[in-house]
Amino acid sequence: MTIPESAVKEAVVRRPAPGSGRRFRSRSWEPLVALGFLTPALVALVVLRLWPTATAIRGSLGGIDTPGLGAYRSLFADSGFYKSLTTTVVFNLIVNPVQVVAALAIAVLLSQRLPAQSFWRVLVFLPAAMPGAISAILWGIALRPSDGMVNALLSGLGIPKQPFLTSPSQAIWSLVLLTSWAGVGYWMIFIIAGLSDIPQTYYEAARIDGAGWWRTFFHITLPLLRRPLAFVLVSDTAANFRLFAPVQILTEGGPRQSTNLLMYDIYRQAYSYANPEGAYAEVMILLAVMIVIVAVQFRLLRSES
Amino acid sequence: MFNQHRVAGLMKYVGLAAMFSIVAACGGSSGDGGSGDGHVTLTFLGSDPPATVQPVISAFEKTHRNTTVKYENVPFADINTTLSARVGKGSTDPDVFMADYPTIPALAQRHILMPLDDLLPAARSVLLPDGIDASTYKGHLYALPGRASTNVLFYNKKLLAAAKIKAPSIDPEQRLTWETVLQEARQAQSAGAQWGLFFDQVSRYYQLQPLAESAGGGPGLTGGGQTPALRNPGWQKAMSFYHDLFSTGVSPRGIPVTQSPDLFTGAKVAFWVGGPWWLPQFSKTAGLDFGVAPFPYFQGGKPVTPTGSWSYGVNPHTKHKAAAVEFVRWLTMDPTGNEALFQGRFLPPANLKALDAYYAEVAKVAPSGTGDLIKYEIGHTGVPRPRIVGWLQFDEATTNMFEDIRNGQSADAAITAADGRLKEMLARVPS
Amino acid sequence: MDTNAFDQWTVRTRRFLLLPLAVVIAAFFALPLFWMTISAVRPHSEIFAHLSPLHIGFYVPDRPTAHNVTAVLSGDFLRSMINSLVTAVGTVVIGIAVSVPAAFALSAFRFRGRQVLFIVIVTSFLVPFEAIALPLADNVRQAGMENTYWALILPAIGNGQAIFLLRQFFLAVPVELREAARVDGASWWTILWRIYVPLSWPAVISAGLILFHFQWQAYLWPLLVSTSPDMELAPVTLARFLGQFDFDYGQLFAGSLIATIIPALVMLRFQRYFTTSLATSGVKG
Repeated sequence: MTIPESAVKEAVVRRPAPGSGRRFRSRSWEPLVALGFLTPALVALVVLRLWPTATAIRGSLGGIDTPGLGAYRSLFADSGFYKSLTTTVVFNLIVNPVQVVAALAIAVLLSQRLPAQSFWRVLVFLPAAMPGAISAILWGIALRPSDGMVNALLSGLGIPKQPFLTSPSQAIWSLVLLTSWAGVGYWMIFIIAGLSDIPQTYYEAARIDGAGWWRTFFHITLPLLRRPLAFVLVSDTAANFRLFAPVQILTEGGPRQSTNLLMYDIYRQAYSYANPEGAYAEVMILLAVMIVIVAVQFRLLRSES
Repeated sequence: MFNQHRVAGLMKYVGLAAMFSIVAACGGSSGDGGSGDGHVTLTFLGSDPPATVQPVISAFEKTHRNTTVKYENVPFADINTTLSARVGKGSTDPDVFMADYPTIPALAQRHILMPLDDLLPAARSVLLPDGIDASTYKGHLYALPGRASTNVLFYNKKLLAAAKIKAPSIDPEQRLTWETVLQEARQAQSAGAQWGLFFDQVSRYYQLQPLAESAGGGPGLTGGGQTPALRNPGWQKAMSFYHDLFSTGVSPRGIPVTQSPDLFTGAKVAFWVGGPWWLPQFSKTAGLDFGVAPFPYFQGGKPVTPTGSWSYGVNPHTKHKAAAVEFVRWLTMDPTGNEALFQGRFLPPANLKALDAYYAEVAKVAPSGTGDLIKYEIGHTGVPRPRIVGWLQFDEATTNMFEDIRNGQSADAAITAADGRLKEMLARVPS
Repeated sequence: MDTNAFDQWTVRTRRFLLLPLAVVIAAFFALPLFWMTISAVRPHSEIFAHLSPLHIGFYVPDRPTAHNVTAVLSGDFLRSMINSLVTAVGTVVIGIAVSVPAAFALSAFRFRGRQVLFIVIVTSFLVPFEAIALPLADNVRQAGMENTYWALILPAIGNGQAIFLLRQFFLAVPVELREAARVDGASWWTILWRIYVPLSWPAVISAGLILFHFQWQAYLWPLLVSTSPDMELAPVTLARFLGQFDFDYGQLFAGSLIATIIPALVMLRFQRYFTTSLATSGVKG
């Protein structure tokens, strides 16, 4: 059974796609007003983010004495760099969809008007409220191969103990587990906000027409969540590409360089080895990769009209 | 009505923008050492807990009435970052700070430490020679050593007794070999100990360099610190030994440095190699019956112990040069100052007179003979870490290598990989 | 399908299938924190004594002690917590004041360069803060502003992520409402704060969360610009518990607990804005 056309039209009409035409009464001074609203934010962004970024770009192209692509050349000559780049990309290709889907599923589950709903939501959110270093430390203890809680649980269930962070094949997945535990609750909040934005009338209309739960979800909920989901996917991607604290605390890039994320190396180059040129060059590469992936994500989640 | 609201709206934004510029123009609240009446305030940056530093500062201020010292505590892991970002970029504060021995060449090279050559002749006569060497770079003295270090072998008496193992002697002449310790560790495990042997600074160069040196492998660097030299029989032997400890279940994987002492205080390990600064905590742990023995060595090799600790340096951009230098001098070369320093932290001092006071303190918390043991080791078996500008890179690469070996990679493969990585990393270090 | 049966089925599904699922999922997220809470009330020597095998001693401390909590509250941590709170609240207030109008401009107006501006804003938060922290810290030092609340708050204001979020939600506000208001002679300022914001409370709260979270998690920036004892922030003070020669997990956990509870309580308090109200029909769509 299909959802009545009238409900669809209504939803479509009331959700203008970005960039679609709007009808304004007076056009003349709107850009000025818009600019007025934008100015403080723009000033803050330019002074506090974009101008230092420009400094970083300049820094990556060498100092006064050695201008040029030297930093990039030594980066590309370093075999460790390619491994680091691959690890980072693979990590992100897995962790971002996993986290977004999990956040979506949990947000939907905890919006079904269950008893004590606010309480469950806050419990799921708690890890995100914790200082990041502490969640890394906690999971480090939980994943101790000989006596950690996770292995205690596994052996209680008859499963052999796992090496987790001490294994080159499992370490990166342990990091996926840890960052997802710490992050999903945070992203869930934004999706819940998006869900609460959907008027009940749509659900009522769908119910009256006899639409089942799944159909309602795919034809009403998801399309109306497109924008919040776009936000969550892009922001989460940005956050995960910039991840390095758990690596610093738990694995220092190992075992066997399997967790040597780009941002970790950037941090070390800039802050430990006092090599800002190399760090900035790597940042530029990281940014380039991020921009490509984020552009793809925007394309995928573009609202259709 | 339009215009009123619009103007009001815009005014809000003009106000906000003005705020930015005003705030940027006004200074912050960070005052510098007001020296109006000759009174100086120094900023002292370190990674020791404030509770242990306050008594030292109070003692200094008592005898230096016109100087106040403000202590800033940064986490140990971030001290280099902080120094780079502040002193490295020309900031005038902190005036005085702690500098780890092996980082001194890099700090000196980047003009983060002020030369103290005037104090060198006097320093030589009152401070440990190791410390002076470590604080010197290209012939100039860049910091004054305040602390020294060594390691001993702790053992759990109950766990050894359960395996009917004779407690090792504290006499350096009767030092155990690593081979014997391994054997006895295994015995203790069969008699009920959860683990046989573990290390304080597990998988750190500080802790494992002595093993390689004792096996004849050298520090792992040659050519003035530019070329890695890990591919030799000595390192191979030491690393295979390390590998087997974990692969045969004598030592646990996955437990970091910060959770290591808990293993010994929890009576979970029979032998534990670590620093004497743990003595006060161990002696206060209820139910822990422990003994002390010399740091082991490889059969056929020479006994080697880790050494090296903290020096104190002055910011080249400081506005209070005389006061800062005096503070550093008092902390290290003055026996009162250096004694106050170790009272806080129980690390061996670098001042020769303060060392005697230290040994007296050790006798209060340690089995008898420990003071003599520490004295012997500091004087005879300590081998310092390499003094190179690329120290942090070298430390990181070797830590990765040790951890890979600990987690199962063969010594050969790990050494080869580390060798290759070090070649690349050290090539990027300015000399 | 008859509506009554449908209703009954969903109610029963909820109770017997979804609620246990929700409890299990919430438990997965909360259990490690529960362990941390238990550890915070244990003497240090007991924290690592009961990890394995799984037994009741794991979750029940035999000798509970308030020592860690009292020690952490009597040290520098309390002051750092207050600093963190002041910084975070200041950031949220100023950040919202700056981001909401900007998002409004990006969603309700049409002007040349709007898309470009949006791209610039998104790119601004892709850049890792660690990459620009050093030059920014330099500027702060040159302006003599280290160890001030302003130095801590200002960099957090330029938050493209908050603007991005608000813009996504503002785009969903129907054009008709805005146009009706304009016909009635309302100013843009009124439209923004009297129409857009009330319709988007969850979004505004979420934007506040983004700003708060950025400050609450900030470690590198406070380390670089405010390490004076009276201006330290909580994460840096916490890190000091794992020093070079003393590892005080007890106080670390006690302090982390306090640092976690505060945002959690705030979130709990704001949950009522996140429920789908039956009364919203006809207002938004």
